[in-house]
Amino acid sequence: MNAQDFLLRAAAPDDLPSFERIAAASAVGITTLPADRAALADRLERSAHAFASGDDSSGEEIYLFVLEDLARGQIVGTSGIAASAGFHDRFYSYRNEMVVHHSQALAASNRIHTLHLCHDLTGYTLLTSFYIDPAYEHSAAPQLLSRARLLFIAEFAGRFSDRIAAESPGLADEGGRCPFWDAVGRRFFDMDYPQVEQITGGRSKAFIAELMPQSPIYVPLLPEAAQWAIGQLHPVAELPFSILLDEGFDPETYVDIFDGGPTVEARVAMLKTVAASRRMHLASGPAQAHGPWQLVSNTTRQGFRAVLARGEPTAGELRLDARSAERLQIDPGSPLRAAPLPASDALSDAASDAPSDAPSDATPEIQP
Amino acid sequence: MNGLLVRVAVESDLPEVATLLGGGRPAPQLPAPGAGSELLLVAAATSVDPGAARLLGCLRLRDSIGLGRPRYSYHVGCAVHAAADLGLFHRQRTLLLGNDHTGASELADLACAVDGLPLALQSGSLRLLVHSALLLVASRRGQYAAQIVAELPGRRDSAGQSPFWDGLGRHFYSGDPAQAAERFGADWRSHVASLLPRQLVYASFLTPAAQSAIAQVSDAARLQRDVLEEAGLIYDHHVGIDDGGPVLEAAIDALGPVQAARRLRVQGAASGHGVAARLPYLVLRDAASTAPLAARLLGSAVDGALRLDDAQMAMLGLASGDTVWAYALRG
Repeated sequence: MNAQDFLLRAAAPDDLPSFERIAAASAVGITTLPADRAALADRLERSAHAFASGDDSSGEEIYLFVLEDLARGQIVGTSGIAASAGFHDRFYSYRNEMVVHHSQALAASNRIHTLHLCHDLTGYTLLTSFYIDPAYEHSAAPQLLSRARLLFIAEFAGRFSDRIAAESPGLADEGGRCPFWDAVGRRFFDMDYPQVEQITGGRSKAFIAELMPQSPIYVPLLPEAAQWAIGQLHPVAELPFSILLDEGFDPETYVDIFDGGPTVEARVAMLKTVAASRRMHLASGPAQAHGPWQLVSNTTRQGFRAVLARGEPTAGELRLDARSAERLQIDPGSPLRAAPLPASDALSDAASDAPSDAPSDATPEIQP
Repeated sequence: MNGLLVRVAVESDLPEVATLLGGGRPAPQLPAPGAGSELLLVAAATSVDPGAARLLGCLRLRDSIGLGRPRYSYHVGCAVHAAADLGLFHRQRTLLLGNDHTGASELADLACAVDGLPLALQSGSLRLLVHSALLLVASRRGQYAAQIVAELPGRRDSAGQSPFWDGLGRHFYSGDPAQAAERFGADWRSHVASLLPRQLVYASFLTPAAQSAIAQVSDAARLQRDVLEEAGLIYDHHVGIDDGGPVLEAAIDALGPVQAARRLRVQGAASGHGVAARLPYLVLRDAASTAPLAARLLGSAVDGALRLDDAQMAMLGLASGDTVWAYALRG
């Protein structure tokens, strides 16, 4: 697979069959995509409306993206952005805190880990719905799929918060059994988490959170398996999580109130891709495909597209190979947004099968 | 209570008091002289030879607690998490560390000799101690608080371990609270509490054994609980911070013995005078004397006077014209 064959674009209602396939393929609770045709269609409608609307942001917008492998003509991943976490309601998290209990007389001093139910992340922009076909995990595809969202946010900053968060699934077994839920939530519900989600229907998680203890949880009182699960990732989330960490997200402060998975957060402006991204114009002239890897997007909201391409920005211009420009649907002189692809050293292995990666194949388009 | 008397403990009583209290408790000490903040009372059989009399029980009466160092207990509360449309209704017990008994008077170190003694004698000496203490409180009402508390030892397993401590305190203090008590005396609670959770703890986070031990008295202290409850103290949702034993409490002015207590003048009566009319009274003498403090005496109260014959007066070293506090016992 060739890094230059990947195209990220705004999802459209026509993508419903692909979303259905992906929602069905992902395990319970792993993505924020509902495995229900009507609900998915509704999400896609909302997303299409959000991309199309020129109105000021209300905060309830969701933006869904798909990643296509153009060489195969297939959608191989999804990602999304929710403009404002907990819109219409509060967004609940547990905040990790340490208290030191001290007694001079007993010569004892203990650091006690506590979890505080909080609404700190309410109103943050939320990265959601990440899914990549496992066959593409080791390619450049997940990099584009995750980070291109940040180009979109940088380009349309007025639609988003200046703070951003992302939930990751916590430890659970094949059957959805989750040690953190069993030690915390279950004491207040007597049911499995998937069952709770089912019973509460389309209601927000805030509804469930209100049934949870409002006082801090003293972690030393939890069974060891649950203590261990706090801030631990479900193995399927390692890849997208590592991308977020590389961007500069902080994984230490918040965990999900149900499965204890880490909820990362950051200031948008501090993220690598956002901080390094520049508004530029497409240079005219002969197409070259060398230089460092760049994340490149166009600047149109409704027809948003992003690709990975090689190029060296100079004087507010970026020269791209003709195929990349075509996929971005831009002409010379058109605005674009680009940022160096972080961790592209790591990517060079993954993308080594890309012909453009080999110095001797600097112009793959004209290969015999 | 027959054939028993209560007196203020003296130095030579302390080894026996230590035996009554059992191991794992702070070594008993006499209250600091002149401090007037507490009294250590002991019960013994009426005897012509006080030196030979074995102690049958002990009780420490404190004017007020928690005013020097904070005094801690857990309040056992209730939180309901309900969602009517989901059919969810969960009642949760909660524990909150606090100083709810600050300033209260206390009945502490209540214990009685058990080995080889009939149950009636055990409960008799406990009852005499508790009621004498309450009579003392009534006689100096201004010196004591509005509320009185008594913390009882909590449940222990056969190895002497407290399941409540194992489920809660142990996670916050790796030491042994009994050792802290031996080392710091009454202040131990304050030191241990500074390591315990300050925020509300849902009991359901504790082990089942710890949950079921909340407010459960140790087998050895059941008699104490019965006697205190009979005197009018009740469990009002507070437990000890170490073993979760119940704290019994009451508003002092609502207690029967306090309400029934009267100040009476002793009036000598001929031996056997009006035998048929005599009733049992718990009689408390002025504590300044070195004679025994309180005992169950037979007499009759008429017009502010308590008529006692010589034998009854001798038990407390009373003379005609002395004033005492007394109330009629039911039997």
